[in-house]
Amino acid sequence: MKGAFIYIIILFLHAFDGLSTPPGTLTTTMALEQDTVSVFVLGIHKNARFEPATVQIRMGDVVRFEVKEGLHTVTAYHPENRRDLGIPEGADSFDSGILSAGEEWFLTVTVPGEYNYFCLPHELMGHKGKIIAVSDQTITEISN
Amino acid sequence: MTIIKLLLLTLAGLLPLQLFAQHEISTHTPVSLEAVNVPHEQSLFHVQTEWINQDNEALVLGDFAGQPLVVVMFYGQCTGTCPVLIQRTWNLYKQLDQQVKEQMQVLAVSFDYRNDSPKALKEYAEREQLDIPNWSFVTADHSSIRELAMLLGVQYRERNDGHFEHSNLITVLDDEGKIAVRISGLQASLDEAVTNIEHIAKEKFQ
Repeated sequence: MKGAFIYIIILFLHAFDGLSTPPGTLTTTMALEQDTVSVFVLGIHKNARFEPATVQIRMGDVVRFEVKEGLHTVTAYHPENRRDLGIPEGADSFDSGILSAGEEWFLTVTVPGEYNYFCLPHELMGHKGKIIAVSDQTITEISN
Repeated sequence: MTIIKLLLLTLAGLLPLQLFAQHEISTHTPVSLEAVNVPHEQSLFHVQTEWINQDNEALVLGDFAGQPLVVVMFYGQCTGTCPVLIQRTWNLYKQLDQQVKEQMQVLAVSFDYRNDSPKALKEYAEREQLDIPNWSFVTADHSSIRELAMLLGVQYRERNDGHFEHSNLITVLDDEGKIAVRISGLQASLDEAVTNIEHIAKEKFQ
């Protein structure tokens, strides 16, 4: 009886899996000892999202975008992509092109600052992300 | 025992929600249709359809005679491949010399004759920062859109949810309206199209 009770509790928790973090919630990860930071590209249609939505990296770190489901892009807010500038002055624009589930795309940045980016198909649904690249060895906590 | 019953009843209530969520997701999965082969000898400038652009102006394909024309079919509410297709058309355009850009046209034709009114196309063009000279976003009646799609080899079908399954095709017409280059899919190189447009424009205007 006790085992069945625990099993039901596990099932109950599983039913809410993925619902605990609402889509679009700003989450933050820190890159302290690593040189590659992963951002997962999740969801399709209204629940499309980058997780974490914001990452802080050091110059020279690589950001790895891994698509888990759906079709997405990683596209800079930049006039080259017909958007207002959302990355540091002098930084190169970027656009991954179409990425599907299982594909990876890597980004390195050479200018410190904030890099705002979006997904072309899901921009209007809020599918956006941000990279904060710091030249300093000290990484400060980002407050949401 | 009462607690177990309560949990079981709660789980039973959640099951339909889970199934509904999966159903909702599946209906929005983008499906791309392959473009079909079409003859290249026929001029599309003879098609008499009157299109209405984002500025409510009427035009026919023959208006573009004498210059390269890039044609792409899309729809404004697409949350699948159309934004990428439009981006690729933009990438093609921005690679051209300024002089060539001024001597060619881009025609974006919507499948969605119900929703993509000239007003909606204007809003789309403005939002995409493509309400610029030489770019026309157009609509027409359903049969005219279907006719152009057939001539280009673009397949499309409307789904129950109002979205479309369609081919992802960029077509370059030469100055006589004949198909010069077709770029099928979302990853093929744009180089041939760039070279071709520049060749047509330079031959015509040098």
